[in-house]
Amino acid sequence: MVVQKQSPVCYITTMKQTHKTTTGVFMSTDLYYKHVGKFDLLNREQEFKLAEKSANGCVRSRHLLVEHNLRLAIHIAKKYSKTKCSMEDLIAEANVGLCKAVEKFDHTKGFRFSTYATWWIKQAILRYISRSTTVKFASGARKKIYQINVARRNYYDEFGNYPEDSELAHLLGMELQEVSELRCANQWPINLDQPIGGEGRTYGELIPDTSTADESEKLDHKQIIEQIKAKLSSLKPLEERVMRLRFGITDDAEDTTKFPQSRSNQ
Amino acid sequence: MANKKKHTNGYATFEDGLGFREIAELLHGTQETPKKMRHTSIRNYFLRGMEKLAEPIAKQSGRTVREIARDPRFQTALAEILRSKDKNGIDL
Repeated sequence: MVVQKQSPVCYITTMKQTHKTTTGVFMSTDLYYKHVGKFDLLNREQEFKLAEKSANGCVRSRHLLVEHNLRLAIHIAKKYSKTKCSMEDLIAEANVGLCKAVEKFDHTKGFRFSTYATWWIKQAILRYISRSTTVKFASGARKKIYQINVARRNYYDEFGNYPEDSELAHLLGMELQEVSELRCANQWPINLDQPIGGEGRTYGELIPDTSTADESEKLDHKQIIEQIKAKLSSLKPLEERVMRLRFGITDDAEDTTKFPQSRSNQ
Repeated sequence: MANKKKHTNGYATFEDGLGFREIAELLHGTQETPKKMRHTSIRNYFLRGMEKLAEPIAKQSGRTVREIARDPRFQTALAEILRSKDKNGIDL
């Protein structure tokens, strides 16, 4: 790989956006893996020397340190492949984290670079994953969602069915409402106009319109009301009067206004 | 009795309406009820009327007339029907 004279961050970011190598050639993910595989792992002495030079401002050493650890970035990115983000994006973000680690690495402390870089790479990937969701969560809420998902998986592995929200709340020591809200917010959005089934139908067409009543139900409802109205004529006068007063729909308002007076007279 | 709720005995309450005791006092002295009736008698009149109106629903739903007549949801719905009927200028 030809190293350009620019900062590692720019170099990797360019690769992410265009899927090009620095030589300007388009590269598939497989080719990228092969390309990265050419760089051997550094031993402690090599790593120390490069880090030392890098700290003194040597760009070439910095780039070499990045290149020889690209495999580490891929290795960590693969652990997040089950998320809905594409592998290419995850690797690109991991590389951004790797560059950050190179900038911040302090070789005088005696730790291996991979130990330090792992945290930066994970941080970059996790930040990217949280950014890529439609619903934005605070980091605390994200952590709780993660705990909820892990608890649900563990419960399923043990009992063969998923727990209720109340059980989850009890297990995790959270409020029931909080668990319900986080689970509700954690749903992955889908495009309603997305075609399904190959017949030109969309998800939107499958969602029932709850704002309008079903025609048959409407008809039944109407028939019942007509029958009840017809039955009204069979009521005796006293029954009718009692019902009117009971429902408060008497049109002779004096009935209710007179009431306190009539009661006081007795 | 201890396990039953008030509405199961026809004592569902209405915001705008009167209680059975109040209706009994109100009707006392009128031509229809010269002698004062007990509130339970008023309730019986009310429930008898409700049972008559619940017949069409009982045929379709499979529930008993008595059960439907005492259902607060049915009573509220019926009140709405009667109100709308009144608004249209039709007498009961």
